[in-house]
Amino acid sequence: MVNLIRAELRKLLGLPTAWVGLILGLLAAPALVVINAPAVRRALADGASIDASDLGFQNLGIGLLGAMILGVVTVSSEYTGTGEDAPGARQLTASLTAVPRRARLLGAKAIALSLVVTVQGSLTAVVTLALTERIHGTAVPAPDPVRVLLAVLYWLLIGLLAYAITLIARNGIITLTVLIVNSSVVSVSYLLTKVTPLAAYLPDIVGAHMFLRGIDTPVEISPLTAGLVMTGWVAVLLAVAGYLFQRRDA
Amino acid sequence: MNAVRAELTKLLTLPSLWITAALTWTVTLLLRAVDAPGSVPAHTMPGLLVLGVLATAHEYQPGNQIRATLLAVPRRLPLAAAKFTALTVTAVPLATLVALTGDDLATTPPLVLLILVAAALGVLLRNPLTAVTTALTAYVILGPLLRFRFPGTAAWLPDTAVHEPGRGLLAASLWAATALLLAALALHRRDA
Repeated sequence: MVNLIRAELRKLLGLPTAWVGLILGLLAAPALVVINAPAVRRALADGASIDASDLGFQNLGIGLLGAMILGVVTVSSEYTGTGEDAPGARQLTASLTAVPRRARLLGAKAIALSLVVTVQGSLTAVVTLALTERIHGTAVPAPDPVRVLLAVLYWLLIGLLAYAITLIARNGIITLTVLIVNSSVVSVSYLLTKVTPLAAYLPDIVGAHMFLRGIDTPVEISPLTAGLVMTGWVAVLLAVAGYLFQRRDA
Repeated sequence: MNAVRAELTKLLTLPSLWITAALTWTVTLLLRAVDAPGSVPAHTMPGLLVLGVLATAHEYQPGNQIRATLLAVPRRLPLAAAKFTALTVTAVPLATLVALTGDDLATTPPLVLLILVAAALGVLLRNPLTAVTTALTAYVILGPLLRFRFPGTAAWLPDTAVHEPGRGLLAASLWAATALLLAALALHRRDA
């Protein structure tokens, strides 16, 4: 299994698109802190009613794009054609020849992805929060370590969510469109919460409740419930993906 | 003229384009039904961006249809012109339909222009996944962020016209013209 994970790590880190995801995810959130700094400073000076402890965490959201891209390319790279000489050939055929037991392959892939995404999430969280503290000083309370951990966990779960959805759809474009569109300010999930309060339990909204306090949703969700619901979503989607991967022709 | 007809046939017979168009229209209808805040076509624009990217980038997917296309139409600048003409011809009715369904007919021109920008991106990046990610990130995250933080840039962004019809149409046209020109030059200069 260790060899398998090492192989999957190599495959993942050998993809140019994965590096785009890695670097984008790492840089986007700290950049946003700097861009937002003047407006935040003004808001703090005006004594606007913002939850100051949310400040650093709010900017983390944009970096999730990196986790999504990583989750998607881990799978979609296996399904794209390998080259001009053999248009029908896909890397997946080779992977399955090397690792015929599909559950093992999926497991190794998931672990490799989790390792990369967790490292990325932790680095981004630490850098973003440190930068927030440096820019805003004492105006922002020191981040609660538990919240930082939960933010990283959310980061990891989003990566796995993207991984599971891509495995089900077997197409990166569908997954990325759904996920990116849904990560916008006015996301589809957010619009749905206007229709039914239950939409607050959709993965992207419920997940944010794990580490953000001041979210505008019709229902109050505690971080623990949020974490459990989010993990539940990911577990179910991974189970469906695993089942389909076992049963479908590659 | 034959080249335009050929490109038109390709666009009209590609299942992924029909699926994308149908999904986009369905989402527009749903958003209209739930009375979403803001302009409805602005929310469904991502679907049209995917469509624009796929319309050109599908030729670079495994199988490299672009080789066959270039064999049939070796002169690349006329080919680029034919491609973009065919796309405009198909994009106008689709954008009108989406704008009508979203009850915001004034957004039709910017919708068409942004579809063309996405198509140019597809030619430039030659990879559907990369092009879709770039187009969507720019539209969903970068555009709103810039408009919110630096309101002065709004008049120059390509997507302002979709959000506030009547404003920024010139910028959208300039973006589309520049993007198409760059794409045509890239097609002309690069090895396929």
